Amino acid sequence: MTRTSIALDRLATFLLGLVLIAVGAGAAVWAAASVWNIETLRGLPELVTAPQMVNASQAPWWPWAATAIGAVLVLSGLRWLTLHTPAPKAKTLQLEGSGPEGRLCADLGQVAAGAARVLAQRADIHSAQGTAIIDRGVRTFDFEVTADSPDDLAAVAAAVDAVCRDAVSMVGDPSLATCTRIRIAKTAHNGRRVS
Amino acid sequence: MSPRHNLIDPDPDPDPGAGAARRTAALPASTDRSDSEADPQAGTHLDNVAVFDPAPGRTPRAVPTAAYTGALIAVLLIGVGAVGIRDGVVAAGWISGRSWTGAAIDSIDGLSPAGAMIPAGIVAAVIGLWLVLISLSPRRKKAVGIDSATALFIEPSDIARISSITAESVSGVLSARTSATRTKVTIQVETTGDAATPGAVADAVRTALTSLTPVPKVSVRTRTGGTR
Repeated sequence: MTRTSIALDRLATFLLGLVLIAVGAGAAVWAAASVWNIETLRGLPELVTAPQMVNASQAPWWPWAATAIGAVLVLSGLRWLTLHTPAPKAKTLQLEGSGPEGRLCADLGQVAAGAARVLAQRADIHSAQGTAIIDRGVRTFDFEVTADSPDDLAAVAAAVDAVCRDAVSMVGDPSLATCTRIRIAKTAHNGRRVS
Repeated sequence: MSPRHNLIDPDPDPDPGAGAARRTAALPASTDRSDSEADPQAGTHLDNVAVFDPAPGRTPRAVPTAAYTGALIAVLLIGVGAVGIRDGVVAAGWISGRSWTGAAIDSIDGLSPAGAMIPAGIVAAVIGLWLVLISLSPRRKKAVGIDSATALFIEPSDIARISSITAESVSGVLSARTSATRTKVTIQVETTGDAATPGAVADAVRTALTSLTPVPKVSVRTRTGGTR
């Protein structure tokens, strides 16, 4: 998800919350004033009236206006739903040396996948996956590395550090970030016996 | 292997000099730090090229609850829009029926107070308050950092796995089950009854988790084997 979509979700949730608080509390107070005949709330109206809305809803243009607004709402809702997708992929990065005669680009996804393959070849690593994403506005090599055993954690961490440095150095852009989640294989075991 | 995959070459280069030259040519000339400082067993190596430390990655965070309510509101929006479109279809004579938007406005016009509005209003206000709170709440961190040069993280489920495996390696432990959060690890061990075992388990697990930042608190609950 992008920061924009999260901000939109937060704003809509906040506004809906405010509307529910206002309508809910207002309805409860209004009904309580009437049911229990509360003196201080005697000035509240006894009926909700919306004559202009009723007149408008009976006008010949109403269904077409409702249709147009409905279409806009459906399209907006669908677009909004499509924003709820995983972090966007970071695609290519233009390298130094690009010029009028041509562009040099690195496919960041392939670099991440290659780095993961390097890690996966180690004996102490069960599996490794790598993708390039845009995480909260930062181009990031995102790795998930599964270690064979908790004993290997330090060695795996050192290997990941080295490979992350290599991946960023390959591209030559220190603004690239790396984020690695270390997992422990479900089949992991610890051979040591501490006494 | 395609040339593109050679960006990081997992195989030892039969001609290191040629390999270094090829990689050097593909990289910028500035040098922050020589790769020769790195542990030769740690991973791949680029010879005679600029080595950059990556920028620190962001801590993995859970999807905010507001994202789920946002998706729900989007679905509601689509539903309301469909009602409006249906009114147009009815007006065009493609289907028979009454305008639903008109009916909704008619039901509001002339509304008078009723006892049922009190609990309904309170429930709506409470839900509204909850929505406001979740819209403002920060995204929950879902992993703990590992002390390292780059951004490494581990999730509580894997901390629990490390703890269980480590606990089961301690002499006197028959089995171990662990629940873990980002800040606390609780290990339930079945022991042979040795009084020193819980302390040994706690020490072993703390040692296994020392590279985490922050190191979670470790508590051990014991049960003697065969008393189930």
